[in-house]
Amino acid sequence: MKMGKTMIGLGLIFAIVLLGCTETPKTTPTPVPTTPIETTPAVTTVVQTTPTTTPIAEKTPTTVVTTPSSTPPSLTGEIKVCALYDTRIPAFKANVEALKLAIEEINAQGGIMGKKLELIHQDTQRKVDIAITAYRSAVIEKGCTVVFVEGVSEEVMALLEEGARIYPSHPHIMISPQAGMESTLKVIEDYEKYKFFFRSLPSDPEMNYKVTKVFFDIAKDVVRAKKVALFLEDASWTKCAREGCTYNTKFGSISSKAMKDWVKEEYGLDVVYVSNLAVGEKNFLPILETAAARGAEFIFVLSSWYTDTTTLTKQWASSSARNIPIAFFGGTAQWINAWSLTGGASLGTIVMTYDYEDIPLANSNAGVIIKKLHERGISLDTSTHYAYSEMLRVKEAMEKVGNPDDIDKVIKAIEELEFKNHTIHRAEYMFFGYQNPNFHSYTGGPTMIAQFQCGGKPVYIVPSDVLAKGGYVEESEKVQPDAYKSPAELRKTCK
Amino acid sequence: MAKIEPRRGRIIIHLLGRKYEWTVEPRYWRNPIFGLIIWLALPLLLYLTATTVFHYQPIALMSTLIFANLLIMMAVPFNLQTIGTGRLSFGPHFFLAVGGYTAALLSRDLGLSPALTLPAAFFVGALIALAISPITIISRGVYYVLITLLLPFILGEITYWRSDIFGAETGIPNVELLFPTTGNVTLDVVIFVYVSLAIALIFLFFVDRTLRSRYGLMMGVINEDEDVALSYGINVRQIKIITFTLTSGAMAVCGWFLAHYQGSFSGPVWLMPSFLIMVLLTATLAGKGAIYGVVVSAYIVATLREVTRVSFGELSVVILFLILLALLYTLREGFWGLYRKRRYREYEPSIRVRRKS
Repeated sequence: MKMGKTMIGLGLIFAIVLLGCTETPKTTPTPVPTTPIETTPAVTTVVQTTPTTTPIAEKTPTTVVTTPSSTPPSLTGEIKVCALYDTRIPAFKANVEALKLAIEEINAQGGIMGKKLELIHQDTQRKVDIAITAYRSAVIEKGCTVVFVEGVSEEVMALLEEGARIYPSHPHIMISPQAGMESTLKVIEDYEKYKFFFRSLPSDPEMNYKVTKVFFDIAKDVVRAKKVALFLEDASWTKCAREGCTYNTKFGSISSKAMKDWVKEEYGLDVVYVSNLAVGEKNFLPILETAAARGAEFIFVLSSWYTDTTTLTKQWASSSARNIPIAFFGGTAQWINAWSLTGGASLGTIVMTYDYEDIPLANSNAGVIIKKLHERGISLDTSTHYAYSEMLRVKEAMEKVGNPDDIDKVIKAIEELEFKNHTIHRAEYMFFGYQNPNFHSYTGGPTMIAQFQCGGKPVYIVPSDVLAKGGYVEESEKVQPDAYKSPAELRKTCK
Repeated sequence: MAKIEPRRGRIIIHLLGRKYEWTVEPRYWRNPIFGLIIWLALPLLLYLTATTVFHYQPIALMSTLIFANLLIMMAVPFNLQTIGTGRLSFGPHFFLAVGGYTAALLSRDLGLSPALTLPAAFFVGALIALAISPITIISRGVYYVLITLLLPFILGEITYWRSDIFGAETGIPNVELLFPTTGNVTLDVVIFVYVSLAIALIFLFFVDRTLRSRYGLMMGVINEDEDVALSYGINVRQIKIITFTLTSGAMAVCGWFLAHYQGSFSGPVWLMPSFLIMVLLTATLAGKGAIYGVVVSAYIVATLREVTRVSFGELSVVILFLILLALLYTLREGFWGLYRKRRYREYEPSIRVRRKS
């Protein structure tokens, strides 16, 4: 009998504990669409968007929705925004803080049509099963209609399936800076099922080609290198750079050659060494030494947060490759704080950074946002800007529709919106509605690349013509490619 | 046909040439029956309480129960493997990943249904286990631990190396779900709770029958001392290989479930040591070789993980492991020990020395 009592007791404890720790949401009925809206993009001609040949002008949407100038009607209630992030990771913590900031600013301006926004953070611990639990809880229990998810591919791929099941009864929008073309392919191939998902990153071929090629403009025209070494993170998202890739979709094909090939063909640079960086690798000295031994004059590191760029920078500064200019795509190298993290070893490194308050961007709000987040102790990478900006985009779309609860129409509005308030990128690179393989994704374009010079001050060295060609005319007049100095020279002159 | 033969305190049933025994005295069957009923009723009870009393869809709660069942599905065969091989493996999640990849690849590339990928996952897992089963004979101690610990790392690297097949961190998408959606997401999840519970129950049944059989006795002897087992004439090698092979196949079934539950499978997620730690904690906190303790242990571990996640933010993992460490320290015989020490069996062996006054 004691055993029976023990088991019953345990069962009751489970029930009480579990029910007690789950927030009971208000019983606001979730609108269920009764008549499906015809939102399948009407495409009759396949659009070819091979990265090398498609000019930006051709991609500009013909139907553009702009923010309404008239004041929308005021509504009551609140809009719940969920953020599914593991905030132990500094980059993800920055994403959540950026969302908080955006929501604070929106609420300070009266919310969205009078509806206040509420941010609910759910910890994922970067585990798929927990992310699924948190996502279900976010949409079904907490009633979030907008869900931001950390850019972890394994999570996003599982959540896409989950979202497809949840969407019909609980319409919502999911936004994630996830690298991995498969999610975009799902949206393209089965639009009605996955239309709720938007990827705040370019498609893989564009990410590995269009976004990275500016580094080789620098290698050729600024550094004047002739031989380059490529360090490529061995992850799914870099497949296009490592091996080349082609994706055929009903909106056309998109492809990219392997980086070693297009760097040679387009820039005339000799690729003397290519090394794949194993995820979690800590010992970079052998590959740095090999790059130096092969006579590399420029090293490009294509990596994400999976690669410890802080350690790589430190080892570079103490290796025989220390005089070879090294350029970083991602990771902590994107932070201004990389200077102090590496103890100044990042002197002379070339980085893609949007973490500088005096960044020479046309959008003056960018510096303000960076400053505000710095005041909160946050360092920014590109995804931090994306989180902030995407919240603004959702607001614009909801106001355009006039009903934040009509998610089908909000999705359609997001697809049609020419969003001009992105903190760091131009509207044509942020457009979600291109009926090409970048559908519901960003489009690749030039980025702001700086060199850490004396005292850790970033000096933006992108060739002006590259920025101007990409539409960043104002920025092109502010960058200083002539201010580039070799690492050896900087070590001599900086005290 | 069936012939019932009453005996003192028990009933013997002769059916189809086999003999079944039922002990009449309630103390032998009452508690397991109660436990089973509570286990089966718990998800439904929680679901109905949440929807009717608290008026919300308890989807996070149901998801937690699925994770608890997954831990049982892993820890029960793991316990049997530990007993039958006399070795502590640090690679059970390797076989989960093998099963997951098998199911996901067959489903996506060949369009096989979950009913067909289930035996495939089991057999591929068992086949790989059979191929590497000699490690249970030729290695022991730290060598065995290292070998089994390395297997998941090797597979993890392979998934990145051949990302064209395994999809690296992105994994394998477009895996057919175990059943078509009912249209009610929470109900779908409740069904998944019961599917996972059913698998856990089947594993528990087979392991229970095995441990109660003469093979279980031989496994116990091997676990205690292989030399003694050999001197008894037990075919140690055979039992070790069979145990390792079949229990690994069972672990592969967990991967099959995950692939068809999530609709995708990403191996690196499950090949991380964090999941291994959860399995080891579940098995250890259950009590030494206590397969029923695994049920209690898994539900407590999964509940604690969810409660700490919701309550303690960035400190949740630290708090969780501190609690589990405290439990490891205080429950020397695991959760099952709490039950056993109130039973007639010896709980903590002790010797009393009478002294002359």
